[in-house]
Amino acid sequence: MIVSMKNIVKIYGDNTALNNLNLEIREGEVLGLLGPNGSGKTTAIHILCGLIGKNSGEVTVFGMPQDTKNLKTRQQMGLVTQEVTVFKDLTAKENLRYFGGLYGLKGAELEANIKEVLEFVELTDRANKKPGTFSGGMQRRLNIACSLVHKPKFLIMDEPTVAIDPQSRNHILESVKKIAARGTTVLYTSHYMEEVQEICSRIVVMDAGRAIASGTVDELIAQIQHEEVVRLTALAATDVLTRELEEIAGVQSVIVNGNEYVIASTVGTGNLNRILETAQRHGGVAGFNADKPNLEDVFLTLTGKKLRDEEA
Amino acid sequence: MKQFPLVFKHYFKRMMTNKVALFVQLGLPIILIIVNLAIAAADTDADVMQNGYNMMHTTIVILMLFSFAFFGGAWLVDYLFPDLTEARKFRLFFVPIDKRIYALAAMLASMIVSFLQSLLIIVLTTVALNIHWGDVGILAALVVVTILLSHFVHYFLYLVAKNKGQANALSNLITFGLAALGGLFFGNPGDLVDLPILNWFHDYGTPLSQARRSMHYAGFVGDDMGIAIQSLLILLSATALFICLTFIIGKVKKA
Ligand SMILES: Nc1ncnc2c1ncn2[C@@H]1O[C@H](COP(=O)(O)OP(=O)(O)OP(=O)(O)O)[C@@H](O)[C@H]1O
Ligand SMILES: [Mg+2]
Repeated sequence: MIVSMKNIVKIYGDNTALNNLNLEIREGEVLGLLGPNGSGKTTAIHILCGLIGKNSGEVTVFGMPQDTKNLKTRQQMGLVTQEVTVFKDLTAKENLRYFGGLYGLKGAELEANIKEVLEFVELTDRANKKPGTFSGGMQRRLNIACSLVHKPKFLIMDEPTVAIDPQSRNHILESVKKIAARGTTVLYTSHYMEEVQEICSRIVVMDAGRAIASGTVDELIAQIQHEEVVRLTALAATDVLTRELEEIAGVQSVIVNGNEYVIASTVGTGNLNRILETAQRHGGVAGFNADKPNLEDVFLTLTGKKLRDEEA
Repeated sequence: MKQFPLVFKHYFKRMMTNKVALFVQLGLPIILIIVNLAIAAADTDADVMQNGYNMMHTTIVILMLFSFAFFGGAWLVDYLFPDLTEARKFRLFFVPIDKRIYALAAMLASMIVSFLQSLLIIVLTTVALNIHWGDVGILAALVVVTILLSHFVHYFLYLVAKNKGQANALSNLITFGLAALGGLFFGNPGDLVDLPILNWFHDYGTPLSQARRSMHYAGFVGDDMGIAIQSLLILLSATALFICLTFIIGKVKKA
């Protein structure tokens, strides 16, 4: 266990940002913290990092109690801030040199790390340029590089892909996979479920300052899924077809509407092939789909809310 | 603590490559001194000369030197807010370094820039404009104390202000207000408006007044080292007061 947060409460005025948050992060995992705007992701991260105080609860990081005075844990942690927080009046390389230096690196080791990390975020050719001349995506990549230069064992990324072009976004997602493959533990926050689904080994869903569910994508989906649904358009609907479909193992109900069949089965029966084969024998299939619920549905089911407001 | 030199160098370099700040801090005082001396030259007569030095010029240059030295801390505020109060603080305060040591290193860098400014003014005016600076020890002590005072006053403003805009407004009010009261812009304001308090401010009530008083008694109007040192100690006490205030408020703000 790298991080344990127990019953964390953080109150701003009359706004409870964290309401008994519980969170654990295991060594080597990529934990996705998924939650809508204002659910408390950044607040949770800042408390975990010892950057702000809390009203109550306990945090341990690397087995040490974390608070705003503990500087020891930080040497092994990297924080990619939600906002781009590099120095605009320094070049990419100067930024990296400064942040590396603050973590105690110097000389050949520092230069080697800078070179490596610039290559990693593909900014080598921009090393001597100031971030003001960079695109938004490049600035975000430099922001990540500055948190990697001291080679932390535990990297925390707070919405690193907000408002950037798809190319930079893919680049960042690939980077996270590579970082994780090297054995770095990653905490990744986002309100994009596709991202979290793609790169995270485990997910904690947050809403209104608390963790409302956790597990792998499949586990989370299993929590809300009570049946598997196949929608099938037959070339010709017949009573025989309906009866035979109803007789397939696992099928709970078959609803017919014109040529459209909605077939619901018990979770995990895996009878899609048999359904298609049956329909094929009775006149053929014009089309079908077997949508699995996604994290969006999980969130909707658990909270009654959409994960993210429609974005333009 | 071991990162102190690194942080110091970082801020010193940024301040020394900030073109606007450099112009205002190093170029502007020199330009203003030359312009003011040129204006003053028009009505120079024999009795402003003492021991071969032009006392009118000396008075103007003393005003400039100490006014600019007292403005110095204002530049620090421009770095403290974006780095230690706004979003970047989450990065800078996450590195394993004590916040106060970090702020102190940045402050020292700004002080050194101010000190270079004073040095430049003194050396240039001595060499090129034949200005007499009197007692070198008193001069050096006054410059250092004025710079310290300015920086701790501004650090105090940084701590009490809600944001950079508010801190800058307070800084302008205080630095320009005190400079005006001290006689930088239109001589003694007590000569313009008949209020005894204005005379008191002009003679004793501002950092500029005390520095000038000290300079004068250390070798210009009369030779009274006692008074020169008294003024120096008054400035030093004000500095100590602000150092204490920043420590107390720094503690409160942290909690
Ligand atoms: N410094 C602060 N002062 C007052 N309220 C705050 C402060 N920081 C956060 N909050 C409030 O706490 C709640 C949680 O905010 P937080 O930034 O942690 O959410 P988030 O999940 O990171 O959201 P986002 O996706 O927008 O980054 C919000 O209601 C926010 O308005
Ligand atoms: Mg956030």
